[in-house]
Amino acid sequence: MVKKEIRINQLPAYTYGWLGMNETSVSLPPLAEAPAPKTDLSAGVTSSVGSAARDPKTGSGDVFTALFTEAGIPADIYEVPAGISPKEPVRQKLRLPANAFAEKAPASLTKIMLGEGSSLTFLLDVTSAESAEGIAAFETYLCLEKGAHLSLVQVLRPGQKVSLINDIGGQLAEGAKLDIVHLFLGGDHLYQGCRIDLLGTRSELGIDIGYRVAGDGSLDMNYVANHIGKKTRSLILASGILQDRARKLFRGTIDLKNGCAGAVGTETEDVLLMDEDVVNQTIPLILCAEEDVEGNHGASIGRLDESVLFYMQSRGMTQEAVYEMMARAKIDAVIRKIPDDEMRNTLLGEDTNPRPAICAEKIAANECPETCLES
Amino acid sequence: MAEEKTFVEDVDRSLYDFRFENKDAYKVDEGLTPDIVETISREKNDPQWMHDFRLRSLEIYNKTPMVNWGPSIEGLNMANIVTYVRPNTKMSAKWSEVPDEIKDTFEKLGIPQAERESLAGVGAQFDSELVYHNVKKEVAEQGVVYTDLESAMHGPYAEMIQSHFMKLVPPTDHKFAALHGAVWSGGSFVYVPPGVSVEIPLQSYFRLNAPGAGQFEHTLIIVDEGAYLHFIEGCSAPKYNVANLHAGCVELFVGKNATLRYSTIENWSKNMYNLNTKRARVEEGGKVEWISGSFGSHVSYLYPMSVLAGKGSRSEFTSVTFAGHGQNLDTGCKVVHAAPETSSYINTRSISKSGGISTFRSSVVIAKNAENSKSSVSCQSLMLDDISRSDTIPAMDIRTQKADVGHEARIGRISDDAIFYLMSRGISEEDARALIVSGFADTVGKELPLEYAVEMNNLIRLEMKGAIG
Repeated sequence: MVKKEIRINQLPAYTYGWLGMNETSVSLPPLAEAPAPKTDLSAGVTSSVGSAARDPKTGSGDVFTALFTEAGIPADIYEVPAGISPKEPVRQKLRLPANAFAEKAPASLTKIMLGEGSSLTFLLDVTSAESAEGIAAFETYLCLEKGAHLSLVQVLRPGQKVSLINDIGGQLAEGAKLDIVHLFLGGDHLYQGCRIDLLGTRSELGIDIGYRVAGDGSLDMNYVANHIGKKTRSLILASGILQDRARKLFRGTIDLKNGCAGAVGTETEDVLLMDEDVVNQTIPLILCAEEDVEGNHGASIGRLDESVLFYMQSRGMTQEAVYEMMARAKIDAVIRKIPDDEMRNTLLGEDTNPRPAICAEKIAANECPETCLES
Repeated sequence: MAEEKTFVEDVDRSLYDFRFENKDAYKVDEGLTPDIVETISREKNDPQWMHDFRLRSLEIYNKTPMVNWGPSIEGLNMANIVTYVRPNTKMSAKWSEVPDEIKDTFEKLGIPQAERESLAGVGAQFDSELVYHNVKKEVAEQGVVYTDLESAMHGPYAEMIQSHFMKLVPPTDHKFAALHGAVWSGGSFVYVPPGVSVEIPLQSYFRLNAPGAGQFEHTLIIVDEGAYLHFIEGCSAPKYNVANLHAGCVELFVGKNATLRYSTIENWSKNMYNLNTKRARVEEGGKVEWISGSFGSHVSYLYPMSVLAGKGSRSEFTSVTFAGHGQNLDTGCKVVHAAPETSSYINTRSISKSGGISTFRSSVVIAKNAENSKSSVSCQSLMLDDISRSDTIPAMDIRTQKADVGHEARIGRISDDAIFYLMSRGISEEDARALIVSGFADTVGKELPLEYAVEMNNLIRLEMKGAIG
């Protein structure tokens, strides 16, 4: 199996090379079409298979996109005609079997096209077989016409030995609105690219990101909101937990292009560090070439506030219990933004801590650091 | 009645744009070759270790690629840069012995007056050489050393210099650090003994007079245990049609429980490529305070770095950047928390107008052993028109759980509501805008010595005159 090394998730503006944040190298075998997901198609949505017109640029970059073309991966195209708003969401569940990773990387290409004034909720839940081992590749193109509204939920929780590159490129026309909920709750190494071009006047982008990275896992993100149209809005909210020896790199860019007068872009990140050996990297960019705009960024990274901890402990909770409760609360807060009762309630009822079995083994062998053992 | 401006102009540089033909000056050929480096080494009467260091740095320079980020420096051709220009005078400790033309230059800049009124010592560099260096008697009697680096290399502090020179900023750091190592000339050496508090500041002023020349001064400051120093650095140059280069290097060693405040007002001309490197190492309980005002230069790469090496050491960085027409100022800072209980505070303001580009670039690294460390970063940018550009690129790398890091950034314009409020109180729109911009930069201004703060506010008011035309 010949692997190809590619560079993905490149920052729109590079910075000091020694930080290792400008881009990420990843090697993966040739792509092969992934098994079809179990799809519940709602009335009003048409689906077809074809080749995706690759107009939107994506967050992971052209090199990653080219792999799909090289491998001839067909696109699953979902369309909602103008003025139609299906009552039920499109639900997709994809459980990657172990044999999907034989020699190649299972890949899936999806295009969602919403006509003028239409709306849709699209849910994707990705898991994998326990014995699965390898890397998978997903790419999604979004084209929203005037006044369309898409709620896209992607829950990525593959097994401990499965890595995944999930990439999005989207274009929003005048008055279009895109809400994305991203939940990263497992896997070995997860890579997320997402670039949305807010082309039309008053188009809006909202992204809620929740992650809990554990074990030796990593999460590498690159979100880009390009404000091109006037009075466009973007709001990127990231909230997550790092535990054990996990690593995370968050790149978030609000690019206020010349001509986007009246635009407002905001991004925040709130990271709870649970254990001693975690590595957190954050690089939030605001690029601005227009006067009449507003760009904001805020980040808070570290342990729990001492006053919160003291308050909880004074009510009889142990420090470990407080941390676990706050971690769960962070993830639940993002889950509650899923606009579908079924998926939301399912996730709220599940254990979302992805601490891998290897940790349990190390705990049994007394090989984990003290803080890790306590929790 | 004086004519009112009807648009926002660039910084009025007439104060700095005077020049004179220094015909008798000695200069090396343009470009960068081993022969030129050898010549500079001979001119400087280098000890052998420094001679070897220069040649090694040149090798590193030739092997090191330019970085793949930051503003373009395509207009800078090293083949056209003269790396060493010696004015026709020797360094003097008496102002009266400085040649009239050079003296006239510094008198116009107010240096001798400032020395008389408010400084403990002054160094004045003209092109590649220091032409004047003096320290007040009472300060010298405390054991404070303030002299030129070349003299110090041959004196009782030779060993100290050899053990510190380019140890914080090695030539391998980046291409222009290597260039500096090869052709450095001039600059100051300051040593403050343990427990000595220098109550009034020392100042170095750098003037680059020769067209197409580079200035590569090296500032080495060692503030020993429990000592205090405020060091002020100023720089300017007349404007030429050819590129000039400034690739200086500042290395600061702040001892246990010592404090060093390093203030810079950078006002190079608009043909200057300012590729300067500044770095401080702070020991246990020590503190470094960077105050930085960047107003000049065509292109700037400037990121003072603090290495918090001792437990409980601290760093504060306060800066304002004003980018006007034809300027691309890439400024910011770097902090490495390498010990427990360290803290850093970064507070910056940048203003872009008339097509100017300002970029705030920073990195905060908290190492695994830096438990209970804290960092706070705040950067705010103001856009005064839609042909300018302002970017913020802050990076954070946190490798311990026991850390608290906060960051906030904001880019925006002058609020219409604020203008309306002030105008409803009888203030003209023009004055209201000037008042708001002055207030925006005030967090930096209040950290500057009074005379600099007044100058900065006057500058802003002048620039904002006619801003609504």
